[in-house]
Amino acid sequence: MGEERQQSTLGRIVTVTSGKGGVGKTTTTANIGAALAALGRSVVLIDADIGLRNLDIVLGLENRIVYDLVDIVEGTCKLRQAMIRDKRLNSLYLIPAAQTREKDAVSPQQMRTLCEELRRQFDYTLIDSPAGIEQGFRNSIAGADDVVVVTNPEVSSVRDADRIVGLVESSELPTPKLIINRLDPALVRRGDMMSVDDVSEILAIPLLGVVPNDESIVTSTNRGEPAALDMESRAGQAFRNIAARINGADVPLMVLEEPDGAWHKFLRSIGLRGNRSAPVQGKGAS
Amino acid sequence: MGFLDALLGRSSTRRAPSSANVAKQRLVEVLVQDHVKITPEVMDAIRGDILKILSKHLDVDADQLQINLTRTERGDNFTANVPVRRGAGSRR
Repeated sequence: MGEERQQSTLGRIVTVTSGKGGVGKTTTTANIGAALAALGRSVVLIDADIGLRNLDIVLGLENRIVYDLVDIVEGTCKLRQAMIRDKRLNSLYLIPAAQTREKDAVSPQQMRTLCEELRRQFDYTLIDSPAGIEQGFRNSIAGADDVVVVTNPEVSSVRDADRIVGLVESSELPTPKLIINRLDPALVRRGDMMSVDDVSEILAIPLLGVVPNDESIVTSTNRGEPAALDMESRAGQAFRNIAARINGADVPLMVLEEPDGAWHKFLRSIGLRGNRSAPVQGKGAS
Repeated sequence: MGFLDALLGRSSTRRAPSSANVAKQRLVEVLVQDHVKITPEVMDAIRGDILKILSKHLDVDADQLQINLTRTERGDNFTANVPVRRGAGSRR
């Protein structure tokens, strides 16, 4: 099958969460997962948003679902039966959420048991947490080694992110890392959006990455193709950088303040202005 | 900001604080309240008590009293700014 890991070391469990809904958790999970798989790592994504299944459709795998997360923990199917292999990347798998069940259909202990099993098979297990701070959130961090908090540079999502940081820190997990999603450099320049520094200063947790607001996310989600696999997408590049950092590479933050006039677009289109960021280089298995 | 303002290099943000700064300031304040779990009622009670104690000894300008919980790198910080009327000295 190929997903059996070659190394003897155990994989990492990373939960992507946010508090507030609609900040881009699912998009972030899908893209980091795809980018890690593109780096050659074995990855399984868990959609922990029971009742509001979405990771499948973002990845374009919605037509392949037979079994789901609840079927696994209830023993209705074998773990392998519920894992859907990605169309494009053969080391990327999805465990979809149950669509017609309640959030309490899974317990924190069941999540811990599942994570222990998955870390023996995959380099990375990424868990897409539901919004909120209730049972679904607690389930999603129960088996995690690390937590990534996604926020947008606006007041309500930063406030909720702060609440999540407090909850994660009080649950004996390491300090979560921050992804600032949908940053608009032009608005920041005009003084109408909080900057990376503003948000980092307020939340006071390590910054894992910054993703610019980018139309390509809309089109790639429409098609069910992660932007991280689109080499033209700036947000995709940001997600590839984040994946590389998770994978241990030292990738500098993207320069977001690039002039975006027609002339620069033309130069870029003929290859005179390429890559606005460092190349992604995975660190190899350790 | 209108076109003419932009042309002349005038910025409306120069007079008023930028909306990003307003957002940041509001967030900092609300997060301190979230952390310390002090309600506005408690803040008002603190304000009343401060005034009561200080006005025993000083001629305090009650309307100008400012109390704040602010966030610093070292932690959350309570500050009170209490203007004293000039020349009045001790009431005793």
